[in-house]
Amino acid sequence: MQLTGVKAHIWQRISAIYLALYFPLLFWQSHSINLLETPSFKNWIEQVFTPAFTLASLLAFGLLISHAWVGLRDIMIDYLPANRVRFWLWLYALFLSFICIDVIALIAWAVIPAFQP
Amino acid sequence: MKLIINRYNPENDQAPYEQFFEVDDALIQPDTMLLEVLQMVREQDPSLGFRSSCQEGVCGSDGMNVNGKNHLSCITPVTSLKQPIVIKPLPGLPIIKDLIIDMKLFYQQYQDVKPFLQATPLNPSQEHLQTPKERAKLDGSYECILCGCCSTSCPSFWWNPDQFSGPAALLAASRFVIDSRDIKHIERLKELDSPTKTFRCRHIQNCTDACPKGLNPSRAIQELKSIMVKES
Ligand code: SF4
Ligand code: SF4
Ligand code: FES
Repeated sequence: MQLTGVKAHIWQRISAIYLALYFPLLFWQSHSINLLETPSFKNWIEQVFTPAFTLASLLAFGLLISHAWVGLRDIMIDYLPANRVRFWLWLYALFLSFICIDVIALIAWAVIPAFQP
Repeated sequence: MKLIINRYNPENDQAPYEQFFEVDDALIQPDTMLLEVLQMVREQDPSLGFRSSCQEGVCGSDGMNVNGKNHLSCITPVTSLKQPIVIKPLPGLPIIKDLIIDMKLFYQQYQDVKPFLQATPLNPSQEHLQTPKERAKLDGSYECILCGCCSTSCPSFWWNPDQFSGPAALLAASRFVIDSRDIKHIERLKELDSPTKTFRCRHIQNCTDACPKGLNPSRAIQELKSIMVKES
């Protein structure tokens, strides 16, 4: 529960607007690519994740995590027994951190090498 | 006229139970209010507990849940109600006896928003002046009679009545935040900025639907949130 009420509220709105724009864009980027010739992860990454779109996607990922944090945090505050809610929030924060580490690892081991010549 | 009333006397009963009552239809006029019918029931059974005082929708003491919706019994015409009329205490707060609930948490939340003017020292030669426009902004928020019909219909308040301020307290908070004479605007907003206070409101609008004075706490909370966003 690091975020205050109003900051969480603002982040929730910003991330919602950004993600609402991002996902159609992701769909648009993906729908036109040609995977039939050489269907591979490398091929997909190269075609979809242009440098600009990669930046937009990293931002989307960050905002998705913050959106998920605030959203589920609020539900947990509402519905979990008050005496244990801090523990569950801590566990949830840990879970989201694991997802972040996973995605960073994925970028380091799979996405970056895919760009190597 | 048929009524089903929730009864509970903590000295004798393990749990609340329902009791059926019947009142002679000849006693009911088109303008008979529910409170008068409850008084007739109490003549049959003097042990029935409910609160009332002004009998004209001013004191806010007789809030109760009637056919699933919170009402003030003194201004609810019985002829408008479907029978049997099912009457329960306001939900979400502990029952003291029958239809009487313990409003301690509700009042605590009200007290916590400092529901009084914090203005510059009063100059005795004149009052704290306000333009008619500034005064008009308070319409719709100062009329609250603290009946509790709103907060006890709010799911967020049911879950955490000790943490979430609830619509009545937030309506009062917004009334002082927008008052041109109040000088503790910033401090008030800071105190309301917590994940468990203002921002537990999900704008389900049960509160607005329940308010017997026709006030709109949900809109006031929405405005409070936008003031907080603008000033953060
Ligand atoms: S609008 Fe907000 S305060 Fe009103 S009932 Fe819904 S959650 Fe509660
Ligand atoms: S806002 Fe309406 S329902 Fe809520 S306490 Fe005030 S008068 Fe009662
Ligand atoms: S008795 Fe006072 S409001 Fe109903």
